[in-house]
Amino acid sequence: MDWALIVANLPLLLRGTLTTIELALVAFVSGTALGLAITAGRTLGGRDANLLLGFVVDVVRGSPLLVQLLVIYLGASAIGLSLGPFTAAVLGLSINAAAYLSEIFRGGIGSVTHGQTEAGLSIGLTPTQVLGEVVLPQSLPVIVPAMMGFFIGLLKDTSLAYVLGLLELTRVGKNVMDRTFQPFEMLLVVAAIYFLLCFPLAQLVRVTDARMRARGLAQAHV
Amino acid sequence: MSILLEYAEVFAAGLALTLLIAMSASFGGALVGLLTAIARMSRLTPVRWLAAGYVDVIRNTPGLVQLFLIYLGLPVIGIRFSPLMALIVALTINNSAYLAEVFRAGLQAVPKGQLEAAASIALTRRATFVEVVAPHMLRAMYPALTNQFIQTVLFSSIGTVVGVEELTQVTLILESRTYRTVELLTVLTALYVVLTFALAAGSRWLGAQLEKGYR
Repeated sequence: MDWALIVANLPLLLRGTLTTIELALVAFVSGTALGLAITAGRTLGGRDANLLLGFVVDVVRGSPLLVQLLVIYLGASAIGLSLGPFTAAVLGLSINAAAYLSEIFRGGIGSVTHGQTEAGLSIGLTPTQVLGEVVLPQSLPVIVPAMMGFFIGLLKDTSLAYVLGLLELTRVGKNVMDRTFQPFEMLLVVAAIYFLLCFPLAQLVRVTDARMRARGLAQAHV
Repeated sequence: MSILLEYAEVFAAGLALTLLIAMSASFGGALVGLLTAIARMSRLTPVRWLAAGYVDVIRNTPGLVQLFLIYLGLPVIGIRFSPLMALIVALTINNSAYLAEVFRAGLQAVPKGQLEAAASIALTRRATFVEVVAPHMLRAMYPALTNQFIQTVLFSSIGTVVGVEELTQVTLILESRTYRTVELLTVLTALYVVLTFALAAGSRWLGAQLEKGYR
């Protein structure tokens, strides 16, 4: 291991790491908002909205994230819109996250017995109130660990923004590697940084899952 | 969509390679994953730790970085793969870690009472596994296994980064030649979606056949 080389390039790698984290966080927050909107539309919007949104979700989940990033980046420039790599990556990751998160929300809602919805409606709550104040809060023991698990996946998926030339961790590592001709060291350091980000989170997911299940009302129907 | 017919052969070749990669990586991943799952139940503590460490390291690093390590890193220590082989090896390793977890969960899904029942009617160890344990495992694992295969089909698109001429790469090559970006990317997305919808439908049908025996 050429430690001097790694130390010399550490600032660059850390800057790439920051971009990776930033990308994952922004996509997670906007993906959650969009995912909630999709779930609300599917639950409250009637049969047609449910079918249409379900189809959109299936298309996003049925095509590779890499292709989605290219569609947004190259597609936008082909129709005369120039998006920067970061904007394109955020857009692509957010849309992808929204599709998967909306399925997590839907699964969570399905884990709450229908009697809760009936009870809520029978005491005069609106359907929106039933969803937001009765069903969703009770589904948190199912939703929260799944969302955290998804975030770990998102952190790793940001590496696909490599194809847009965005200077996130993987691209920075590859650039340093090409410059220094030290592929093994650099790649191991990059992998180690991802591991240090993801592994503690994975342990947190395990603990949270066990705790929330122990005291939660909802149970995942697996 | 006329572009789809115009370059039908190119797309067909790309699609075929994508499926071949996904099938090889799924088969290899199942094999390594099964070994890993067995190693995780070993009586020897170091073996258990090694297997658990392998799963944790693979699951907590990006597949793209794993591909780079195999394609660009390993040649440093004298192990050289063609882009296609590097992709298959990387996806196999990546799959194996996830499948090991699936197998572990599958084994845990066999109710203890079933084993006791099998013992009480004096089934042999072999009959217990074939008639009792395996069907329970298969039933419990089936959705996760088919889902993992579909994820592998989608994830094999990272092959484009090292120049493997799978579906995404052949489309990008066409794009650089024709500049018909919007059409080509639409066709590319549509092909993946049709493929995964078909795979999902097929696996649902097969799953229903599996369930029939239990009703």
